[in-house]
Amino acid sequence: MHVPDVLSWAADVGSLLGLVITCLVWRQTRALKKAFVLRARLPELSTALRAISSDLLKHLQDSSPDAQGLDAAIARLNALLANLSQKVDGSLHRMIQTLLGKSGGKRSKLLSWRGSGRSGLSVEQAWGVYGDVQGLLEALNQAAKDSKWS
Amino acid sequence: MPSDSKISYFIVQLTRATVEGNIKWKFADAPTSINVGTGDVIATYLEAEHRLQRVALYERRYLGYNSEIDSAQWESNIVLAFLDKEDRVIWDYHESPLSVCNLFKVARESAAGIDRILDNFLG
Repeated sequence: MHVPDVLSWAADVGSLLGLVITCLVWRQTRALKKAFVLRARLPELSTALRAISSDLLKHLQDSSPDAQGLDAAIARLNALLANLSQKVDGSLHRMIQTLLGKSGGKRSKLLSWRGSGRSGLSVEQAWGVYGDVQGLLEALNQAAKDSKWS
Repeated sequence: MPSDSKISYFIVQLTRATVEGNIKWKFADAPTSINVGTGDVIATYLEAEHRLQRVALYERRYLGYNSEIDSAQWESNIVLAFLDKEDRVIWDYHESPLSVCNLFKVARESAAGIDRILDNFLG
């Protein structure tokens, strides 16, 4: 093997290694960015979720069901969950996706346009969503505690 | 020990039963097993019977230590408990997640008959 061939081969290997390292650094940077954003925004998002949860209960408590109020609370919940979903991974992400499925937040844009924004959740379903929000709040609380140690 | 998810489910079911009027809460004095021999103040004590089980819900105020200001400070939490016929606490839950605070709020409103009071004022 001639020296120029060896150099050319080494340059190819070096380029490939460089690509792998770049990918690893990019991945790590992305994870760090996500972790910092989460740490900064988690308390704020948890507080907003607590407020929506209390609002949801207030509408469920109403003896004459206020469909518009309940729909508005569900719409705010879906917007918050969609935002939160981009910031978390793993089990929390799955939990939020499941909740979005139950609260009608995963409905296609066409359907939500045709439904003129009504969530269309029954009282039974709304109670299910309220229960799941309590579980999510506890999981977020634990995640906030974990983020202080990592 | 019951799992967190089971407790969370129970609290939501209790909240729903309260909201739908299927469980009647009443104000009462805390039994001695709860308020004797502690420095705690039981600000509000509510009790109900649900499926033949006595359930209590109370606001406990206590002196806690705040390390940031290096001094004692009054704090409070909501406790959910099961009692037996002899007033013994057979299980209690001292965590105060939002679900318990919400349950306490609707139970207190239900026991006070807040809707009736407001209707009287407005009527």
